Amino acid sequence: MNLGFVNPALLWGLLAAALPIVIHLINRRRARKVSFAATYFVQLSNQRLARSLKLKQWLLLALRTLLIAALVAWLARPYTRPPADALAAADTGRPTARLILLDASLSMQARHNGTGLFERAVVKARELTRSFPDSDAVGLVVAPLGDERPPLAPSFDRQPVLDALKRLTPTYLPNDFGPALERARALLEGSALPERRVYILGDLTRAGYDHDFRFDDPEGKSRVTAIDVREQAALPNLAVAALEAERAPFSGPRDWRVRVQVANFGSQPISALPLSVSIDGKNAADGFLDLRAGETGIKEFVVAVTQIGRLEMEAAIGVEADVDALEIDNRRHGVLDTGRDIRTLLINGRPSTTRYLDEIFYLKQALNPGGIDRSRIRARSLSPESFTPAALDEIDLVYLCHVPRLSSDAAAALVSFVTNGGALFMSMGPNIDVEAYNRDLAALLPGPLRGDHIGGDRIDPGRTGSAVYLSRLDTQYPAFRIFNDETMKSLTTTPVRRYMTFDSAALPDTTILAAYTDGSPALALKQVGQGRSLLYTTSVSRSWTDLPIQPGFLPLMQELAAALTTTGDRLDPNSKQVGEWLRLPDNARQATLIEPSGRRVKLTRDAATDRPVTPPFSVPGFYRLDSSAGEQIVAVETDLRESDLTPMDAVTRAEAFGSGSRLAGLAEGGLAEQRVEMAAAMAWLLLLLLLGEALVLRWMG
Amino acid sequence: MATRLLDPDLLAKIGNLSVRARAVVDGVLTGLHKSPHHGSSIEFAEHKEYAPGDEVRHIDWKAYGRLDRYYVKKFEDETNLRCALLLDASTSMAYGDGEEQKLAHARTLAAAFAYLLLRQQDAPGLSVFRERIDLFVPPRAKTSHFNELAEALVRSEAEGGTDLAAAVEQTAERLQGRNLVVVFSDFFDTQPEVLRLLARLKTRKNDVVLFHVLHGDELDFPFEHLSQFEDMESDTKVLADPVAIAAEYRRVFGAFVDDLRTRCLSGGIDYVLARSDRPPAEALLAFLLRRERAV
Repeated sequence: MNLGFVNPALLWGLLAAALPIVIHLINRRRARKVSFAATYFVQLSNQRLARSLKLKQWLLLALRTLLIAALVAWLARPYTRPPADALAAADTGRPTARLILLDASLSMQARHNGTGLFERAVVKARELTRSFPDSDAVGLVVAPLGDERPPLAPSFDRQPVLDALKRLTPTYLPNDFGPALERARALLEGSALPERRVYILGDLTRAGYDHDFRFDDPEGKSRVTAIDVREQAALPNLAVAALEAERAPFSGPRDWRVRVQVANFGSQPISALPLSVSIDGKNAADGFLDLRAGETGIKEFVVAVTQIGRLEMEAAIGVEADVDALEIDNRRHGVLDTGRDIRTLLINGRPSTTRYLDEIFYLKQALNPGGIDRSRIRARSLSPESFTPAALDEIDLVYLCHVPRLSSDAAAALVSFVTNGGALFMSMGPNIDVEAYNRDLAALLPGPLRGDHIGGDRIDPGRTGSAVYLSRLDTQYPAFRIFNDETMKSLTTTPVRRYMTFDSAALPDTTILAAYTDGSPALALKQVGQGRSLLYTTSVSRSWTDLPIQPGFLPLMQELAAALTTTGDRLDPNSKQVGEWLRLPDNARQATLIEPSGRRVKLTRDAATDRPVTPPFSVPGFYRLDSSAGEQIVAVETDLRESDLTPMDAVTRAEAFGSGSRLAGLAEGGLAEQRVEMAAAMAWLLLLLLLGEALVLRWMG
Repeated sequence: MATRLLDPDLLAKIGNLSVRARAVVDGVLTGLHKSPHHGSSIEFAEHKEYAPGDEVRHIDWKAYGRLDRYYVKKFEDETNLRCALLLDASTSMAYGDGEEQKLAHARTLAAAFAYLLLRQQDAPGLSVFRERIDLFVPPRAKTSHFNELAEALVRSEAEGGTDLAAAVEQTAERLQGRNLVVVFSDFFDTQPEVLRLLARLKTRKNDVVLFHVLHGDELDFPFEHLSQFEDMESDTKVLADPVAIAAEYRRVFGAFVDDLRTRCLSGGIDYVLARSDRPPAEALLAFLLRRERAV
């Protein structure tokens, strides 16, 4: 068993062990000279005590010297290792190409007994490199593979491997031993040496193995030794598994329902786990969560978000290190898009000085119920006569409400507006000029209009009165997701006395979002170019239906407006994972990436597309993209699989690394675990030496 | 001689010693509350009829009043107490500073003793010895003799080694009649024959008193730091940790003091411990009180 030190440079401190001796000698030299008449008696006393006193003094000197030496040795962190490295000694003795495969994935940032797994792996790798015989070649592959971590083919020169190990830092990437092992095998096959060995240094979690790859060497030249740097210890871990948010219009026009999913990968239940949500760096909600072992729990908050735009949302758990080996996954990020203001233009086909008779009175109230500050929908109204193409500038959504007809120019402008990405909502009424619509706005209609229809003619046998009702809603459509049976009730029980029919024989690019009880379409959405056109076959005033005065009318109009303009209905689905990258929009020519640390990186252009491309995201957090197309926030997450620190079982290990592979602990190279034991032993030794010194001092009187 | 007497430093020293001796004696006598004139050493022998040539001042006028004849008081020389003061002036007596120096302390004690004896009209003499008696002042009973003694004391500097036995032997040869022998020394050179010699003196009806002059450091050993102790009379050097050996030193030194005291007592020799860090009167008073009780 050889002795080694983690910090051998500190052993220079052993020179300090000579201090007591030096002090003793200096004291001898600096002893005060006393001219004394009774020196004879001093001599007599000294002689009598000399033997025991000298013994005690030397004992004390030895104890103090040992004490300092032990203290220095303790600081240098001693450890033991098998002679000439057991891993190497187990070999045939023939020249061998050795390749160290080091796991630098996210899970290696976990800590065990106060030491990082990655740090353990690097120390072990360094030791292995130094311990191999000179006749062997040593190489290095770092998993996951990446340009920043180029593999080093086996070479007799150890220095490149040692230098690479010195520079190596853990990544936030998920592990995949498959490609790394493949690269290792390829590098070994390129070596002319008769024997080949691979040393995998990692936490060997079950999530880090790609089941599609199997390391096997039919010639039997290569063997894999997997060194588990955490010694098969069960590492508990908690992680924020998901962060979801969606609007909660029934709670309030600005309310969001935020769901935080927390996974407990440990074997112990956790109670009252503190949990918090912050938006744009400000705390928005706090709560606690109880989790059974191995369980994933959900905590739901309703948060009022008054800010508009793309906001940084973060969920975090506060947890003690003893139940959480990996700290980095204790938070999760998302970009909450509360949308920008939706600018709408309401073309009023039947204005009236009597407010409730005005065609758009109820619609306007629904879109902007509390005034300009309470809703993000900005509504401006015009008469059909004053509508010009210029009015469409900076408009997201146009409402064509019971407009009998439009001039051909206005109709053409409207078609162009929608085709280029604008949104159109058309509502019907008794004065609609069907022919003009079918002629000028055919491109925007799901089918040619046929004329209005009295609902009572096809009344549902189960209902009374001459009316139909909304009955079928496409609940997959974003605007209807918020509705349930209860909240839909006011809409489905309100009669629709009249509605417009259209030819629904062939409906290209059209989706029927809702129908009446008689089967006729109530809401038909058509994709027109890059825009969308929605036909609401009844009126937004009370002329054909009482729906506008129902409680459900307001969220229906709000959600339809949001859905048609596709803005701000949830967390940004485009959040990225560490290792992924982002291609910028077409119109982004110059762009700067601001990393979570605040570092600014000017992006280079992709040669193929001539558009700036981000480098792969390397750390979790919020990245900001500042480009000519505007500012964009990207939330970058870690791979949740890395949070599961459950060790790989024996079967999987054999499957992954080959049947000839074997599992080794750090002890075989003498590392962290024994280091800890030595530290404890050294601490005991120090204590004993201190005790010994005290006893000798007491003995000396 | 004239030069010596005109030396102002010497005169000052003598004056100081004289003052100190008187102060000590006065203090001691005050402590005794007894007149020195009742001391046992004043030996009135007989009256003799006046004849020309006798000292007129010795005429007993009271006897003349009663008898109408001149009678002269006769004090025979041999009835006067002779005192041999032996002062150890070896180098070891130089230990201590100022008044606490052992030699200075011993000088004061010797001077006080001389002063006391002269006041009683006894005859003190002085022997200053080292390896032999280097200075001898014969005993006289004249008051003016004090100055001679004081000068001899003041001139005695500590130097050289000690041979107490030789000094005692020399002194014994010079003694005539009854004597009081007072030795002031640290007795570090106490050969067994010294005490035997002193005991022999005692048996010759002489009175022997040892003033054991020691410094407080020698008794208490208050040193703290690692020190190299260098003997004052030999080349002996001892490196020692005083704290470590203090207890043993005190035990050994205490045994030495006790041994000396025991031997003195068993030989009928009076023993007085005189710490140089204590007032000289203390040792003198202790001695006189003991004597008074003995009488």
